[in-house]
Amino acid sequence: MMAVEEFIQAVALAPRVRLEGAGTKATFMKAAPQDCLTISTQSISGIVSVSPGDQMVTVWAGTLVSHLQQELATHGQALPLLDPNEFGKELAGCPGTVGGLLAANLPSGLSSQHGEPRDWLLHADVLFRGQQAQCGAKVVKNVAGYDVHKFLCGTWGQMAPFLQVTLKTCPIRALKGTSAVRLRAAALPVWILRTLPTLFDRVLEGAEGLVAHDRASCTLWSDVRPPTPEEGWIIGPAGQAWSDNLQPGLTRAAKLVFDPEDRWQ
Amino acid sequence: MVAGLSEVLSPSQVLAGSATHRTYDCDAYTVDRSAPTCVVLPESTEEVQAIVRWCNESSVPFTPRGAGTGLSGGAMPALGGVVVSTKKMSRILEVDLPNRCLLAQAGAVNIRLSQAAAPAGLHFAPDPSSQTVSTLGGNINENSGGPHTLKYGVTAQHVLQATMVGCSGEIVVLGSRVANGPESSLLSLIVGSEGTLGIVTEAWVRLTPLPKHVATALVAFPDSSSATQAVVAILEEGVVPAALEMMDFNIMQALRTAFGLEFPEEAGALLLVECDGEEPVNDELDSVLAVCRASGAIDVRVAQDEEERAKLWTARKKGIGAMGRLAPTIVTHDGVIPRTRLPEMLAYVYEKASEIGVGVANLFHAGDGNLHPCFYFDDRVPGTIEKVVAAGEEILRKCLELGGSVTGEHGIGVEKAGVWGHSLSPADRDLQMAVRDVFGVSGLCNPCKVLPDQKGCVEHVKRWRGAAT
Ligand SMILES: Cc1cc2nc3c(=O)[nH]c(=O)nc-3n(C[C@H](O)[C@H](O)[C@H](O)COP(=O)(O)OP(=O)(O)OC[C@H]3O[C@@H](n4cnc5c(N)ncnc54)[C@H](O)[C@@H]3O)c2cc1C
Repeated sequence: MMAVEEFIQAVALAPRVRLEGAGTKATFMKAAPQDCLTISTQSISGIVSVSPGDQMVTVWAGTLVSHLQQELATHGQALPLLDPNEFGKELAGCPGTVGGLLAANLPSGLSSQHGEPRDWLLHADVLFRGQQAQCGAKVVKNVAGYDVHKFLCGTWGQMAPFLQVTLKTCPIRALKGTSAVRLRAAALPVWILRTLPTLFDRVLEGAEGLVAHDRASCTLWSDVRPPTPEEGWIIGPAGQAWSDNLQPGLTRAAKLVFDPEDRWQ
Repeated sequence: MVAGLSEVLSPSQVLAGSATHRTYDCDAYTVDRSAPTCVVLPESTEEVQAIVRWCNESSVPFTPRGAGTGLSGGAMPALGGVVVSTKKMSRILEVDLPNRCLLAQAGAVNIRLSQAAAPAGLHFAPDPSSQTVSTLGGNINENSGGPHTLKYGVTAQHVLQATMVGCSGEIVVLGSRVANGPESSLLSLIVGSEGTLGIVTEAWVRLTPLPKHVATALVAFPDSSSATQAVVAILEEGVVPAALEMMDFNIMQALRTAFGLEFPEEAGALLLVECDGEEPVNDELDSVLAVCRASGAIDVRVAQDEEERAKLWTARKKGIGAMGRLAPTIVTHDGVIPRTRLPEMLAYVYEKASEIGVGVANLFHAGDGNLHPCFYFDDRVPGTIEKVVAAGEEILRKCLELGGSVTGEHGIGVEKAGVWGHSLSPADRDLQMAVRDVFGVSGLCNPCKVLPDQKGCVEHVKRWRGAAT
């Protein structure tokens, strides 16, 4: 049996599941409930295909980002992320596995030029109510159907987990330098804040425990919860989040539709 | 219906009558048609809400419409009812230059957004070729692209927040002026939803700095195969130009005939290349041109100033207009493939055209692998339109076979609901339908589009086809 089929079966047997990739971002999430089984996605890993001419890579969700970057580099391509060894985990977007990278969709020190993981996701095979389903297309441009794969980025594995994904890669030659400033090393989780350019300086002045900041994307990373800006958002440890426009009603509706059994914790 | 809606709005905002029916029975995809009972012209989010509530109470289908330049029948009122036009919602409400964003009503014309930001050196990056008429609401709902999408991304990357009247009349605000927050991206579901999840009434969009340096070249190749090979080689080289557009021999012929444009005699295809950036981009263009020469380019013209640049772009911009000179009818298709498969795909397109005995010209976003085969023929010749439609579907199936998609920018609409629907597994389809459940879609909001599931769509497919011939 293929690894993915075994994975789907293992998941189906457990009524409550916490998916874990490399575990790098576990502390950003609420602790999993007692009755919940933690299942690793690293059993579904590996690179399926790399096409530098098409700027695309297809990869299983449990693949380590570090491994993928090494492989892509041999083709002159990369995911537009900074190297965590050089710039620190937070400015590198806290990378673990590819699935985790998309599920969290955290900003990085290259966000202002290259966007977030959601922007690079072209196609996904997901586990939707026990079935393998696909959305998007394996091309750099596509408008067929609703972009469910993009919606799923930033849902922290709570709606329909990624199994296999196709991402747009960036030629290493086209990667620009970062404008982000790293002040010191820090352990994850950190607080991450983003606001408007006109509010950023004030927020930066008032912030304590600063770890890094990037004026170009108006993002800061810190050890201490930063002051809440008039507009923007904050992500913090243990599932703490604030945004000027959360839509709890629609988000609950989405959870009910995508995960009616409340399997994903 | 007219009386009922005239109470909700003012009578001058409700149009009916045979001229209205004719004007609004299709968009720029004219093969299928279906007339509305009436057309309403709201001016605000609240008026849109009142209309949608009235439609729900009266069980009348409603279809949002911008400028009607859509190319897959998305704004056609498939089951009749009300067309909700955003024509009178064209205001730019706020320009926030320091924060590089702008708030406009859904009916604002694309180009006006860039014009409003131009004095500050900014622009709205999505640049569909229809940008002088198509609206923000249409661009959002089709997730439109343009020649500069290769570098700047499609509309999705440039929309921050949208206000929408949902299918049952509730007002929702999705996204934030500060992008990419900790929530799931409901906004990602709205962008590209073809008006099936509600009516977008206004949106905050991102403004992007105009590049300080631009370098443009028009490169001639002996044939389309060497031109497409150059496209792949350029991107393999690691250069991402701002635009990389291709025109084939028949487009060149059309441009020669219609506008007297001159190209090298032995040229079989042209590539328009543009590089841009904050720093001078001459080196970047040079490496692109070196790759072109290595791929067999026979002539290179580099724009020396703004006037010459505009001239080089005429070949791209006037291409489709020129097509009208070749034959009475043109039908443009839209498909995407991984760009490395372009040579194979183009060969297939030429083969199909010659098989059914019509002409085909190709003018397209080569860098994105986004093909627009444009068939030209005389639709008065019996049976031709059917053959063209069938060939179009075969081309789309070939796109899927090569790992691509049935649409890169024109959308599914009514045109591709069949072809695309058949390519989905039951689980894929369920995943798509889940989106409608999230938004509580009722069946009245732009019925029979994308994934037709309303009663009556099947009979209507036949009737539309009937109306076309
Ligand atoms: C000459 C020509 C060139 C073109 N070039 C390009 C191109 O380069 N790139 C490209 O991507 N497309 C192109 N198109 C297609 C078309 O212009 C785009 O799809 C455009 O975004 C449609 O905008 P519109 O205002 O005309 O929308 P419409 O055609 O009126 O509507 C399009 C769809 O959006 C829905 N809609 C419209 N407004 C709203 C709203 N406020 N709320 C909810 N739903 C709404 C409609 O129901 C419909 O499904 C071209 C078309 C033509 C005729």
